[in-house]
Amino acid sequence: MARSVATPGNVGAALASPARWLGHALSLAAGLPLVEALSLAAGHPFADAQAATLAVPTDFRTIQAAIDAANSNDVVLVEPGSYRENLSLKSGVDVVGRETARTMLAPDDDMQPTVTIANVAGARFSNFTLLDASVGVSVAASTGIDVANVVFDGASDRAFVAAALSAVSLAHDVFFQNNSAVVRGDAGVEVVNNIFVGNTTTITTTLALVDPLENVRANCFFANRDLAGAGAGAGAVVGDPLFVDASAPDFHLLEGSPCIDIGPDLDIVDETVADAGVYGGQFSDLAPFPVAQPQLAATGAVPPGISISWAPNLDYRVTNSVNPGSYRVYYKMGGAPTDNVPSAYDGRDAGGGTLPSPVEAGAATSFTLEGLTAESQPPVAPVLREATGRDQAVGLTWDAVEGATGYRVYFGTNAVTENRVEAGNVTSFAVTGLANGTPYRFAVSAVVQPSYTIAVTALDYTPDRHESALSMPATLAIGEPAEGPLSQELMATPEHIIPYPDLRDESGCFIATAAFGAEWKPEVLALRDFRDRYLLTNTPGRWLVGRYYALSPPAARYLDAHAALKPLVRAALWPLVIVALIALDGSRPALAVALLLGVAAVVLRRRVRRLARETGGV
Amino acid sequence: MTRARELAVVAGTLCLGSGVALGDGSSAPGATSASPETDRSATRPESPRWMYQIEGGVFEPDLDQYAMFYGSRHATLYGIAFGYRLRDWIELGGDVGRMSDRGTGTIEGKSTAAGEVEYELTPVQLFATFTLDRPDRAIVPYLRLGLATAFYDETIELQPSRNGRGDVGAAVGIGMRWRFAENGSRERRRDGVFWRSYVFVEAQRFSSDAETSDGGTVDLGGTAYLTGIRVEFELGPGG
Repeated sequence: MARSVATPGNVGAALASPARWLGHALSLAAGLPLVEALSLAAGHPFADAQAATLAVPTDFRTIQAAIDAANSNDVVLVEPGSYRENLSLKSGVDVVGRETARTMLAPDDDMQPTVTIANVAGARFSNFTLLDASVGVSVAASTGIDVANVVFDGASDRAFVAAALSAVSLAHDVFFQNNSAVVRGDAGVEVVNNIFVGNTTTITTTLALVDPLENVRANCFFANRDLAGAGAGAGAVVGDPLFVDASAPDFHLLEGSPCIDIGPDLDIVDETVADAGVYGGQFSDLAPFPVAQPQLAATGAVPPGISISWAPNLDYRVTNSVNPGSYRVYYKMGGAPTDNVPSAYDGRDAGGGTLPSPVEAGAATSFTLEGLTAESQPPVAPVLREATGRDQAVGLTWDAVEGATGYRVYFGTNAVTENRVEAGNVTSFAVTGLANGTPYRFAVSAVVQPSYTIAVTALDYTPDRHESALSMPATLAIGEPAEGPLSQELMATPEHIIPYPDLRDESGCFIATAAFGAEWKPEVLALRDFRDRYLLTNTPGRWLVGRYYALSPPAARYLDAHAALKPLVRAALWPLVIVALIALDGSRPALAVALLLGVAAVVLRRRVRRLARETGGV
Repeated sequence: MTRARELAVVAGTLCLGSGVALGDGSSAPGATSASPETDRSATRPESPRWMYQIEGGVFEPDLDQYAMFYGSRHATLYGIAFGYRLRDWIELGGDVGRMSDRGTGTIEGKSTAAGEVEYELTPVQLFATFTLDRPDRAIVPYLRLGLATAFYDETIELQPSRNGRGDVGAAVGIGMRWRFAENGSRERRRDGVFWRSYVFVEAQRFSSDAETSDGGTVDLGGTAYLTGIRVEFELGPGG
């Protein structure tokens, strides 16, 4: 476990909570050192004041494990990801997500609150998106609690509930489509700068107060069923908050949102009057939401270029008609087309282009990288380890070559270069379609396909230009692949293997199995039973079955490789299946009726054709 | 073993088994008789009617060259059996086993060993077990006769696998079981809920002819030496 000592920034964040402000006031009044006063405010001994950051999942696999290991004044910092846990907070320990939009928390037991804060003095829970909850956060007998910058999304019962006599600051949260958003025992729960959208019940105070909306201030309201289009509390703002994309879930605000700069606090992001919602106030995470994976296309120019485009980040601090943010393009040479794992891409290599990475793209949502290098050093020859003869095939294995993006297999009877197969980026391959009993020569070469891996970030318009995490990277291959020399040659002879005992395969109709998908399908079983009862019991039938078994495996393999033909083959086999079913299970009259119907169908068809010819003749 | 010989063995052992069993059944617990012996036994509970057993052991296939291709004359056989006791001396049931072995094949037209082959056999039996003594004794010898077939699956490296089923043949087994546990509550026995547990050893032979690729036949059967746990249980009145 890594425990890092709190930075000045952490202390600043600590001071931002009401409990910390209380401690600060105490220190000023009593002349105590700040840390000791904080301990008094939180009800903890001075010895615990050395704050540490406990990272999840880096240091602890679960959030609760980190909370359990934390001491007073420690911060549990949760990296972006999806977590399924029920948390129980403890005094003096803040639990903070790295980014609200990308730090998801759902309950493991949805009969219990996702977060329980009971008998806690001084703690913050912030920067999470709570999903799939019955009860999101439950507070009881606790004081000095901050629940900030949290998205409560779709709680089926109550998103936030606090018993009476608890002191909670519920600030800069988003309550989106919950059954009941906030249920508080009394006015000890302060509800400030939140956004309420689409909730059935918005704010309920259980105790009868003179002003049931006491300590409810400067919130944004839209489409809450109980408020019938109105707001609640002092300084209420009513109107569509214009979330970027609630389904993403990205609860940043679009330009023109009525919930921007409604105060009374300051935003840590742009140091202006606070926005309502999760991207306002002092605990907001700073990074814009990452942009989606960029689209890449080769320009066709010489030397090659790549045209990059991406969907805009619509956060008003990035896309703004007056003061727009910008984008940065990171690129590097290398990476396979399937290399789209973000952690595998550092995004900061200079690459082989004319511009060093990253490139400032400005406010535009497209950029063209030009003058890229499309030449690669040919790789070294692989070592061919094994060539093993099989039935009409030879299996090859070789050692991987560093930097290779693919391999080519060469084979022939006289010269190894007679045939060439692209094997892909693998180190074993079966060459099929060979003649049993014929010796073949084999060799392998490695190829390198020049490619570029590209990712984009968004930066907001603030003086600090806060930058998002990298988008999902995209990779594009350009130029001609460079091929290395051939490996040494190996010889192998494909042979048909006979098992012991040399039993007959009764797995049935190969073609029907391929067409209907499995040996146990009723259609296949019907054909097999028909074979056993009507064909294998007489000489002509056995001869027919023997010829069929000799010829059908290649046809079945072809059918497996061309799945589009299967419906046609099934349609062709169905009349046989019906005949087989009637012959196997039908009574003699049923068989006779089926035959009569078949004869009738043929006669009818002939008559229709004759009629058509006669009509055409007229 | 030829089919005629098998049938003869089956018929003979059936007669023998019936005779022994009938003789045994006349003094079996629960049998109705006016003799003093039967009167005493009438106070004893009947044997449990249901049973299952889990078995394992070695199987020696009746294939001459098996050891050459699979490295040993033996393979491990596991199985499970269920049964229902009609009378104290006879029980009917079914048994499913599973055997798997890895070996090599040969190149077609040559005698050169090549390729990996996995040979799997699933013997299935329907049997009648004749108890050769009262089944409530601690050590019970028994004879088992029945019908057998075997499903086979030959998986050949880089080739289509072969599978199918052998014909129905005969199965015969002889064994001994030793009771090591039972619930002794008279009250529960009166309620008809009780069980007995045994360990057993059994020698078993079965045959099941299967067609070969060249139109001949080969016997998939062989001799198995099995041991395992057998549990007899009674679920209660009507159970």
